[in-house]
Amino acid sequence: MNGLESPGPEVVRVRITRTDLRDFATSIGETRLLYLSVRSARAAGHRDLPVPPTYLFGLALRTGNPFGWAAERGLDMARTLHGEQSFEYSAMTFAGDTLTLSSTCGPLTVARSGARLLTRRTTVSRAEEVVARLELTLVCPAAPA
Amino acid sequence: MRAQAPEVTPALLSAFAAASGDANPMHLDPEVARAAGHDDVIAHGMLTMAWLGRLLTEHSPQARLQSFRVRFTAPTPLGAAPSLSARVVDPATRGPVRLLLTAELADGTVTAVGEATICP
Repeated sequence: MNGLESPGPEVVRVRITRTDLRDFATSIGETRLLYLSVRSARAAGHRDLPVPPTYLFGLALRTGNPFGWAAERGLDMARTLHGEQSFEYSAMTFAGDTLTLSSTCGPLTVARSGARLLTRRTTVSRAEEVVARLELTLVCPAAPA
Repeated sequence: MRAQAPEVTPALLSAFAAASGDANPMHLDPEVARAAGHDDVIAHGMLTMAWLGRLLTEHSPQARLQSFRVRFTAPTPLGAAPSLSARVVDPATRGPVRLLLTAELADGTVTAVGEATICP
């Protein structure tokens, strides 16, 4: 766990599995065989099941305490919402890939509305290649008067 | 392009929480959600974004997707079945294709707005 005292990146290393990708695909209502069947994925020219566009988000939370980094910085997680999310892709990833997700949290900022905002940036690498960059912004509304 | 999301149910949210790794209790525990001022649990923003991602990869092969961003503008309550849309901006211009994305509830509440760029 990365406390305020040690502001280095929080690093997660994950091997992508077919089972996890199928569970994710099913939970988002995906029915295209390309995302469910290795044979169909290969027929479409992929080396294995593709990782869908938003799947990387959850991988960055695979720590003992997924939102611990936000709570440590003083966000009341009981009221905090996901404000924004972005992904930039430079390569697709597939089942069987081992990915390293390195996340760095920015400072807590306060919007004019009084809402408190916290941004966390994650770089996703496969071996030495950066395959994606993510940015997550949490919003904690101003406390009720 | 348009698509209709399935109805949001507690079972759907718990399946998505397990599969996505986002187990924030706001999406799973009605007491936590009520304490935060909601009527009941609300859907994960990332579930809406995953649905929008499906729409994008139906529009173009995923390998062409360069960027994808969404701002969550309102909660998605239980029982909602958001309408999803992706619309090409400036179809005549060259270069990457920009798509504007929205998710909207039946009463017109916009729950997410976003943008994606796709290699031509």
